[in-house]
Amino acid sequence: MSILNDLPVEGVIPEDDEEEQEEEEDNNPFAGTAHMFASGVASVPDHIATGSAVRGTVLSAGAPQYLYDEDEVGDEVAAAGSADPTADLKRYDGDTPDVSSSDSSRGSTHQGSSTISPHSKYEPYETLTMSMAVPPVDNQPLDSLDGTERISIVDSGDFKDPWGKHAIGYVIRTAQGGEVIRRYSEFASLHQVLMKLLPTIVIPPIPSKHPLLKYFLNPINAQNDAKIIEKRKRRFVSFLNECNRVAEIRSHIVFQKFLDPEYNWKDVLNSPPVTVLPLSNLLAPPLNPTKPSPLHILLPSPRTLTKVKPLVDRRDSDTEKEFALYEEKLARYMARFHPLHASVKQTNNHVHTLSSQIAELGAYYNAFSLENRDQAAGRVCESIEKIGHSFDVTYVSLEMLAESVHNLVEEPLDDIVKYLQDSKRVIVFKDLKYAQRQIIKATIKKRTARFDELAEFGKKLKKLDSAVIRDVAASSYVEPAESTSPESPTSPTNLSSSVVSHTEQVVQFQLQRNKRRLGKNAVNKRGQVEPEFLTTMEREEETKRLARELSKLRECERLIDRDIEQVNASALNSLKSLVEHIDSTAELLLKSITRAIIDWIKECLKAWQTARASIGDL
Amino acid sequence: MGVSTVDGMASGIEGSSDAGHLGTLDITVSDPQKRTGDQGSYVSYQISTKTQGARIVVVHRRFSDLQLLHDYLAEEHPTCVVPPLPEKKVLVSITSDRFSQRFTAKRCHSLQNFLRRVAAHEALSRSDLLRSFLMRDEEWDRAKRSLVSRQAAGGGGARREEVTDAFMNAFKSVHAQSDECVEVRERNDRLDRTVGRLDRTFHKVVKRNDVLVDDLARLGTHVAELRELEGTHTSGKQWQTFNEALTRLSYGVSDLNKYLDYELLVDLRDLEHYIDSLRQQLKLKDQKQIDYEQLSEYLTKAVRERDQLIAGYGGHNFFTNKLEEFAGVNQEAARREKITKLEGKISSLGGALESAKQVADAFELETLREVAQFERVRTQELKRSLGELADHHIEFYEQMLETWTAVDAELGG
Repeated sequence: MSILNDLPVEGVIPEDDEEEQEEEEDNNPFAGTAHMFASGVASVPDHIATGSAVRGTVLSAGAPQYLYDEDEVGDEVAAAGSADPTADLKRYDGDTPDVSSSDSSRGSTHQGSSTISPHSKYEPYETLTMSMAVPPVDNQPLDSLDGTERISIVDSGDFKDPWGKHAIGYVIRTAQGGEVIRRYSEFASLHQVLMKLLPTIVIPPIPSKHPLLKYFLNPINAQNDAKIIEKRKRRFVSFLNECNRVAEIRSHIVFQKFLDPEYNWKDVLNSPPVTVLPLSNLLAPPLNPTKPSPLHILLPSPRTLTKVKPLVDRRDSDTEKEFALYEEKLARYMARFHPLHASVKQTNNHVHTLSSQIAELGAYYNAFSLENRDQAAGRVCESIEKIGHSFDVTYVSLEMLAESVHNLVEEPLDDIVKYLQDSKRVIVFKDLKYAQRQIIKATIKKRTARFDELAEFGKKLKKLDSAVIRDVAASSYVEPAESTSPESPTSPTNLSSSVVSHTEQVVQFQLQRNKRRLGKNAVNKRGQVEPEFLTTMEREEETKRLARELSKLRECERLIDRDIEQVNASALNSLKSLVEHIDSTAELLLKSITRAIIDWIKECLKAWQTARASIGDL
Repeated sequence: MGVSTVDGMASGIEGSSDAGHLGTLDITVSDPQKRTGDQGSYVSYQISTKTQGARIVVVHRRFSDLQLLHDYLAEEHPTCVVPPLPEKKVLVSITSDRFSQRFTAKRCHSLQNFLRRVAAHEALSRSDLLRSFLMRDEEWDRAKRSLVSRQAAGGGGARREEVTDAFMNAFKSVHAQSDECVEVRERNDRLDRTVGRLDRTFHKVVKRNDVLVDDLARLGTHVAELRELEGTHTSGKQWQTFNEALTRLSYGVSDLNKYLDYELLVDLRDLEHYIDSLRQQLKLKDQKQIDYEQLSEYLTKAVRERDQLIAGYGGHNFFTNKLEEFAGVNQEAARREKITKLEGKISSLGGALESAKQVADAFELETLREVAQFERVRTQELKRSLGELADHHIEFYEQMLETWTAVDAELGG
């Protein structure tokens, strides 16, 4: 696979195969997918609108493994239910069984699920259905939610959770007026879960965890960490409101449960849809990963993006061009905002130290005026005091400025950077989807080639045979040996078949000798046995298998095309609103910080002018 | 209210200066320039003096000229606190550039402080040499030559004596001190501490400001890069304006910092030196006091011995007396002789004591006058320094207000 990015797609395919073979020998990641494919989800009913129903054939396509699988096992429905796949399923953390068993539990929606009855030992989830509905995404920003209906955090403090553990709780008041207490770790897990549940949506960021060292030095408690709590409170408010702004998040059941005091968050985390999340979102419907879709499991799962990136970059359609535009824009944003954030942070730290030194100056000047009240300096003392006062004012206003820089610039910038980082996740997901399609297409191409090759060879053989028959027919002699066959050669076809079988036998004899003699030479560089070294039986079986695989692969291709369409639409929409959000944040940021700076200047100017007046003209 | 009283004081000071030889002096030292002479390069400072008639006289002097002036004044006015000059800073010339802008600018300001102090000093300002230094090149050249030769002939002798003297008396302390002197000393020490602390803190502030200037400049470049991301909400021009404002803020802080570094810190440092000079003066006064006290101690001893002799055989024990008797010494005669000797000693001591007392008293008086001078000059300096501090801050904030209001307008519109 690794050489894919160096060569044009068409030319790559054969090498690609070779590579796969090597990998296969090494027990590489593809082995995993092969297991997945062998895991035998017998009936693969379609989930949304795949008009063509998938019949009860086991798909072993898509995975390179079975390509070289000369034993041809596990193709049949019966084989799928065997003990071996079950063991495999167990290995997959129960994600796969979740899906398949939920299939069986929801038998009403699709037929043929009975074949997976061996898996029904997994309990069906009754609650599953409630999370499944994909909400209609309205792309309109919710202006109505902006002004009045906002989520706020009204209080924070030490609270005891139902398990008796102490933690800092944040009292959230929803737009509807309900109040619910959540703690930091719950916010963090919500964030995590949302990222998994909505792979195509950029999730608003939450404040980072404490550095571990700080935590050890100063274990969090309500008293001494008031500042951090205050900060988190502020950022949680913005997190919740920004989540609320995104239709996909707002209408998501998990988010709604988070804001619902009726639900214990731990229970939410330990129940579907969270528990039925697939291991990899690539092997699930992109817009709703918890929705069961057995066909998705059959998709290949590319591990790294670097290998497939060049394939992805072949963009023709408008959507893809637009995507490229946004991706480039976001990358540029990242390149700008990241250093800016660091720079602002550093500057602000320096402003902090400066302000503390100015506070010192103010104190010294004030002490100066008090300590040195001698006759000569008596009148100057007043001025000194005023200067001290000016420094005090400078200190206070500088602190305020630093605070506003922190709140109005540093934090939003931090959010922007985190947003941008998260946007990468969405883009990577989308690219991986493209990679999936590439892999499927390549596999189809490969299979078709092999199929054609075999067919061609069959045709050639037939031609040869018919030529032989013609020869036999032309010579009016009929060999007595031929007529001794069980079916009396009364018709030309029978005759020809016997001739064919004879030829066949000769060929086979030779073949077996050749095989022994040639050894590896019989295998071409794709790891396939050259058709001429196959017996008719083998050839026919492989042809049959290829036909099945191809039909499955085409199925997958349709699926992935639809997936990509959905992913594109959803992700593009999310990225668009992200860019919009960043732009508006940047504007707000500029405006508010300018105001803060002006306030600071005005405050200081006033103080110094007062001081100047008391000193008088020189 | 504060304004009027301060003004009143200021005019009073000027009035007293008016009575002086030179009248009101407004001395500015500026424009340090590197010159190359016969004995290598030196820095020449432009000294412009504004006299009463609004006449401005400009002369050029180098650091060694000021040193000559300082030494001359110190010699001619031993009882005066001659304002100190900045250190010669030999090390600076080795470690860093002696002609760097930072160094010369700071020294320039320091020299200005020196000249202003001398001019503000009642006695020192009457010096003819000061006049020629400030105003007349030929006279100064002549005086300079004679001063140099005189210094070459015998210099330093008196100084060494002083040093040993001070060393001898280092472990002796003054017994009786006037309350006034005690107070002056305390006040001086207190001021010294405060100024020292301010000096250190300003030093830190200056360093921090430097860092901040760099930060702001870097921030500016980052913001300038954001200009490329012209979005729907912000225009490139707005980012540009913001960037320019940041750059200007950076320059503003830099300018303010230059003032703090080149002028305010120099003022503080000079004030510390001046305080130190005053302290030396107080120490000198103490020495005179100690001289007097020792003399008087000696005298009391002699008087006591004489009184004992007159009263009888006190002072000698029985054994000695017997021994002398045995040797055939006329005890009565010897006693008389001793008494006469002591009498002579007492009378001479009395005379010395009298003169020492006079010297000490006179010196104390002189010192107190110097203290008053010092405090007047210091107050004046403080006032000026504070005023400049406020002015520079106001200037900075006014500029920034203008800049950022423009940014606000740009963003709002």
